[in-house]
Amino acid sequence: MADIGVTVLVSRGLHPRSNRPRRAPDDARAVELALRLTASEHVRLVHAGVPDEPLLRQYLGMGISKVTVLEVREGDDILPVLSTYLREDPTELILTGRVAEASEGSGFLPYALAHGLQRPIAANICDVSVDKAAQQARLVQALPRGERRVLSAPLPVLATICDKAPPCRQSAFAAARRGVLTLVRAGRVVLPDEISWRETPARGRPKRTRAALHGSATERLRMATQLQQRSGGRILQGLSPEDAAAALRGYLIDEGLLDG
Amino acid sequence: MFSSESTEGEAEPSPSGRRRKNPRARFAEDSSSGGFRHADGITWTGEILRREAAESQVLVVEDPACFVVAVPDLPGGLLSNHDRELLGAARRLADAINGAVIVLALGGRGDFGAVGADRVVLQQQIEFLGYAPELRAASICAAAAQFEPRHILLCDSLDGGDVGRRVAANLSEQPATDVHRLATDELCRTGRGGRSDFSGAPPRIILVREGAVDPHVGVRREARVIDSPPASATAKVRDEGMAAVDPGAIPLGEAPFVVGAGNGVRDWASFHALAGALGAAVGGSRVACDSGYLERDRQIGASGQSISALCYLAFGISGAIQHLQGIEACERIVVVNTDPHCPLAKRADLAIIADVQTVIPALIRQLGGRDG
Repeated sequence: MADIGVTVLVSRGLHPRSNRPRRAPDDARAVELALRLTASEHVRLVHAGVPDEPLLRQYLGMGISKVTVLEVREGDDILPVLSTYLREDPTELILTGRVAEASEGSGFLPYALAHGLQRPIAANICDVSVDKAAQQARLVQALPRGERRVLSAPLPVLATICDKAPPCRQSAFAAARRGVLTLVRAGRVVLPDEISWRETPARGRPKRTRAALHGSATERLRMATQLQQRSGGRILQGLSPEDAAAALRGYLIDEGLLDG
Repeated sequence: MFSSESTEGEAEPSPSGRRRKNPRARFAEDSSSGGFRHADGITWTGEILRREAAESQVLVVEDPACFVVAVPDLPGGLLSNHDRELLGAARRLADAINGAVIVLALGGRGDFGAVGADRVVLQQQIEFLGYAPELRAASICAAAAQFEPRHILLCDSLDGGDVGRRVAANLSEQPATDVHRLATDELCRTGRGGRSDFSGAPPRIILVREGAVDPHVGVRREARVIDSPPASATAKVRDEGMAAVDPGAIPLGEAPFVVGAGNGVRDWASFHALAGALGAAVGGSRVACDSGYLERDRQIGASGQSISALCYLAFGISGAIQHLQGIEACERIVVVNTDPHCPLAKRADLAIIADVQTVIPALIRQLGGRDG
């Protein structure tokens, strides 16, 4: 257990089916990583936005005694408030999720925050370990197909946690009740014109298919409507077990899945 | 004067490949092909020649009103499908605002003219072959300072999305991310966890989702190479290499190599030993999971997992349609079964008709492992 301070930015999640407010999954995993990294009194939760007490108590139920709420009005930008607060009271490690679920959700906030605080940022992290003496953090980045890349960064650092991190612990009701919400009222910040988005309920978009450009009309229609047929499949019959195994092994070597 | 060497009486391959007498040989002089003759002396009729002429044309833009910078991901140093779509989006935007598309190729090469680039900036620093998002962002910001583009487009993929957001933070401009519809005056992106669509005017930095825009088809572009000084940045986050992963611990939906077992497998110990020797994840059909030989989270199919492996090796699975639904996204399918007419054998790239019980131990022996 390293003796460092960790700040986790927590936000509102929505259940995909019932739309009930719940812990955002990536944020909860970030809290879990923080609790594995250091003692719970060194983990500080910060929520910027409209305070939703039952939701924030779900985070407290993971074993943390207090959460700091920076109250920002609905629709205002939380970045200036967050940067000011975190600049005044920094910790070595800041963990966030990747994308907010209850707002625009561009995933831009962690990067803007890191730029404002002049910290390096590592994205898509699934594991963190810290060497306080050397002031270095070892971050494991999750790549597709189960691969993992190890990164090292000097402290202080900001990391966004992805869904490949270890699953979060349950929220305990008693711990949630005991926890304290500390409200910090932030002044209203007037920002220059940003993009004004028009919001509509999402419509399912049809999947774009690759249109064949050459060939007769019949061929193009066939390519567009049929499921992809595999052509060129080989069938090997009448082989002895050893020959069959050799054929399999040769095929896997050709495909690059085995070292030949 | 256009003279045809082949007469009306000779049979020649038509555009669709069939051998026939050219019905338009009489009118060869009247064709609007502009006097093109194919290299081997066969006269082709108008459509093919017009297409060939179009393909050999190159559209040159000399004095553009503005620039659109597109930064393709170039995974492995080559243009991916997502990159082609990105350049198609850049082409559409540039055509509407009378601009030119500049491709910033960081650590890769490709036929950028065919995908719609008017200018190309090649940055081939050795760091771009590995993980270097800070250096990429610095290069893009330097290009933004040099060319002052109206738009900067990147792919919203794992790498491109990271770099694009860094660029947006460096330039202090809010980006439009995960854009799934891009028109010249309006773009659309999803937010609120996929529940809402946000529409608005295109901002400067746009990150395009995969499969959102069609690639550029049409006339080739010039892809003139422009010199640009390489940018430098101190990379604070360093790549320490790839971590060793246990293949059995990778979730089945992500695993690159999956071995599946069905009703035909009797000796489960040797099957698991084979999976270990191959370094593959273990999956199975519904029958194997119902019988209790495999956990339910290993089931592959319509009510199980969908796998997107590079190779799926199926032992003793006949391939009901529900199972085939789970393996649609696999690149290569290999099946070992005693039935040559099973549905999976029809779908497989390689089908070996043999008894699974004998093949598995033989394969383990050949891989150098212990039998069973």
